[in-house]
Amino acid sequence: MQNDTEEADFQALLRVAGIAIPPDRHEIMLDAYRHWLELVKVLDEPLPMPVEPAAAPRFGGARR
Amino acid sequence: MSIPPPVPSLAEASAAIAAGTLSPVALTEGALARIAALEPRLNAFITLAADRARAAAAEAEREIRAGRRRGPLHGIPYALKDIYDAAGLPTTAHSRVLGLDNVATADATTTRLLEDAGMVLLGKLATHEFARGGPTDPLAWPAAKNPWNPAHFAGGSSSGSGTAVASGMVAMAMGSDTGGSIRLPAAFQGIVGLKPTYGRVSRHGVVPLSFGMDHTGPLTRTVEDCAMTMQILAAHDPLDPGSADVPAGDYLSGLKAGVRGLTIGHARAFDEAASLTPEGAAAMAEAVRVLRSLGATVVEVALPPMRRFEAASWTIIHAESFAIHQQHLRSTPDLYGRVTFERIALGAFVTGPHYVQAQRLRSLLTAEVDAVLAGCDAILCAPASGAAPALADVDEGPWRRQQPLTAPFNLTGHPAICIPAGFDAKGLPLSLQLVGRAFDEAMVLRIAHAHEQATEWHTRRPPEDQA
Repeated sequence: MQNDTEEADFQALLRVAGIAIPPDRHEIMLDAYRHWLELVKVLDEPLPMPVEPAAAPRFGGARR
Repeated sequence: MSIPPPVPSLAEASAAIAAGTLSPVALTEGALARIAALEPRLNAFITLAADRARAAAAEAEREIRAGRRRGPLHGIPYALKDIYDAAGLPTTAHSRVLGLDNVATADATTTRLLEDAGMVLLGKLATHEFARGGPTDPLAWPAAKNPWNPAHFAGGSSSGSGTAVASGMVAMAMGSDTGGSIRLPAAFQGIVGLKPTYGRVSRHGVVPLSFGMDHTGPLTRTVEDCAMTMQILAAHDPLDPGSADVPAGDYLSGLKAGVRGLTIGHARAFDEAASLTPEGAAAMAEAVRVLRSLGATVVEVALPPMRRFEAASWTIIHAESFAIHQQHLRSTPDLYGRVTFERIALGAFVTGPHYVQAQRLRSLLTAEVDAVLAGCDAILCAPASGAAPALADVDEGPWRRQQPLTAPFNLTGHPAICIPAGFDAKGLPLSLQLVGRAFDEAMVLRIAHAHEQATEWHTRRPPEDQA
């Protein structure tokens, strides 16, 4: 079941991070986690291999 | 009891001080009197440094009378969002986590630049907690109110900066902008807010939220005041690892050159993605008409889809803010407001590959916006769907379902300004956003000034019975 997996992943991520969510906010944070999973699907789209991460300062005029 | 008048603009005060018709002491006393009258209703300040301000104003007055005027802003009051350090004053970030015991031992670089210019610090201003929480979190200090209607959102996170400027307590206040936190309070309170290019204005001595997305900049009532402030703030700072060693622009000499012959790209589809209200859409259409009437060519441009910006932006913000706060989140979670805690806790879900992919996507999106700006002098779009929502309608959940149109330019680092663009039927301000090429704040200010001078929106004031 997808929802069971999401719930288990959610709990595991919080446990690894050492963060405790009050019981009355559990469902709301789980819902936020599901929205997060939906949003970051964009990050699964392939990028050209040579594309490097951005680094500050970001613009060609910088002389650092 | 009558309310003392709003302070003059920086330009007006500067001219009056130069002419000898206004003294820094009188100007500062006027600001303090207005603050005393309005602060009980507006909650703009966390720390009011009245004695320090009076002493600085007296010193400025002595120097100016002795013929040692440091520059155009000498003797004029300003205020700081309470995430900027000012030596001897607490930096609370509006949070119990830091609190009033967190007294700064040195100035932020920006504070130092403004002090060296002779400006007079009035105090430290309310913010959303750590520049990330929301307006309804019960915190140690109350949330700043919108002087146009206290039942509506003041914008954030530089809420107190917006309130202090919009209500005429001060002509310039510093804010910070990680996803829109200078531009949204400006938009919702009918004033000017500039997020300079990433690396243009120092972040040293400012409490971080997200190292790669944080920007510092001013909120003012007029575009000219914004340009005057940038003359002081734009400088390379070796103490800020993100500071760019790029020569500062001249933000005043071309300010009044107008827009004839310029090309402005209207990102209409970007606006539509934000589901503009009918009044918000009408304000944008009117802005296009005004700019065309002034001689600009307005063409439609296509920006990358909002969803790509959001995925990259929020991955970076979540990861970096969580990294900054993780010890406190674990050890003293009860010191955070509920909204702040939950929003920062979202960083627990970000994996290493997510973060790297977001930074790679950032490279591509920056190049794509650069490419759009190669074909026009600036991009025009709305900052948000419309006017300030009622406080009861502000989304205070950990996951905000509707994002403003400001964060994309934190991701790409381009300079972006919000200026007044009208009012809705309830009398609440509407705003437009102009985005320029990297390090070309001068062009953004020039176009903004032309629009401002062709309209009357910036001359309107919040109703005195509410302000």
